[in-house]
Amino acid sequence: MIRALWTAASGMQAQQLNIDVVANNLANSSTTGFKKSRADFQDLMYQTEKTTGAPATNTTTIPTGIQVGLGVRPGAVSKIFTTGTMVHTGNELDMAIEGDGFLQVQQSDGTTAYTRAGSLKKDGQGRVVTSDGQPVIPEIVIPSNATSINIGSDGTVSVQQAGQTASTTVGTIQLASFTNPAGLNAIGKNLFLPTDSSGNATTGTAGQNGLGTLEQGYIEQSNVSVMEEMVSMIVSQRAYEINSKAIQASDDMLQQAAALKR
Amino acid sequence: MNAGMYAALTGNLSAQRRLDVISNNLANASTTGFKADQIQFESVLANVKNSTQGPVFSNDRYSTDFSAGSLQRTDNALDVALEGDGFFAVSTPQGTAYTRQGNFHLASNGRLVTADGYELQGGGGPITVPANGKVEIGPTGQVSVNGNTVGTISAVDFAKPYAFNKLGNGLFQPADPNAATTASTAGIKQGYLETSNVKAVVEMSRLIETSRYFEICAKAVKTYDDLTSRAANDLGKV
Repeated sequence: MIRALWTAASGMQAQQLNIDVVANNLANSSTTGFKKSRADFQDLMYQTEKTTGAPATNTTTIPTGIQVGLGVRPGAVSKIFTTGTMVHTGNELDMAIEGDGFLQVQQSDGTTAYTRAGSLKKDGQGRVVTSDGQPVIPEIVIPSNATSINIGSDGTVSVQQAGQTASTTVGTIQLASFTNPAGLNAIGKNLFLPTDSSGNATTGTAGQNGLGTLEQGYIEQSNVSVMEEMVSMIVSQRAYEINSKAIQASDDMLQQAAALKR
Repeated sequence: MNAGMYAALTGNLSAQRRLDVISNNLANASTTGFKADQIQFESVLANVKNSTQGPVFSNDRYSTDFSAGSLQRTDNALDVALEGDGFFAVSTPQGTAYTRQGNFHLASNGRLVTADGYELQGGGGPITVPANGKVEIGPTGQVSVNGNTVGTISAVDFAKPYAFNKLGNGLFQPADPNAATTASTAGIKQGYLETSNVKAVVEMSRLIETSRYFEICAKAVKTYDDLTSRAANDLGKV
């Protein structure tokens, strides 16, 4: 009875985590380059009350034993790297990655982080940076007299400068890819860090080795499907409710057991 | 004391155990590849009915429902679902175990592992995925990276009815360690996961049934108690 209480409680906790993940997905449904997460669950251990295959008599064995499971636990919360919708913005420094690559970003502590959010800006020194002011790697500086910026699908950045007819190439945006993006560690601000599970980044030129090409003037929206999240939310909420009913039932039964003694 | 009282009490005990099993099913309503357990009702009643020597809870109606859950699309390259009967084989500290949970991950050494880090067994041992490539898994379980085959996920099956012990973490182990495996005919679908096969409505009905059954047994115990009390206190009165 007490066992059932705790088992059902673990079910409620699992659904809470599910709702937490859904809430975060919904909160970020308009975040550029956001990738949705999913919670995976696993059943906990089992108490074996009768072993399968144990002798029942000296000629027969028990065909199926009795195993009572003790509930559920979260196994993993993994990111899902499907592509979001491309939206045209017309901004010169907005770029969407068509394919599996990531932009490389230099963090303030010197380490490299990776992002799919290509809404880049210029900082005071003309460097191409993220919305948080972190420069892209390799560093690209836009001359102050540039009148227009052109980003090729292979990441070549060229500018038109005032008083010149030919365009000047100022750098190339390189992309990085991972064997298992789902293993990346999300650190917020649309940034990801590599882990053992994701493998190390392989850098290269956009458009080669499946790295994806760059589309200037587009940004990638989040891959959250609001409809899908709403369905998950309904399912989790009902599962939460139904687990609370199991707790109520065990409570009722305990009450009846207690009422046996006058 | 009265044998009937113990019969009723056994009913209470088995109702408790059934509630434990129902709670575990409900707790795992969102667990990938989970298979629901059931302890059926009739066997207990039958036992209580025709036994006069302190009936024992019978276990011949305990079973795991191995029917397939529905497939949920995730688009994750390392999520695989089995369409049909069969299991993925993984190596665990307790020996080879089998699972329907196909949400695999990459370990730091490039091997395909479960969420707990147990290596997935392919046709020729563990499957290692070279760094930086797109993993594609074909319907027969062929794992290829950038077009080069690196291994095969081999689903296995057992003779039915299945006799497994559950280890938790979505793992099953055959009760007979020497049980022969056969090749599974299941199709392997990349980018899908098999959801839990717990049917909430069925479990809710069982929950109601179990609570009521417990209540009835408790009433029976109380009635026997009343009878005994009258025998002890009222019979001698004139």
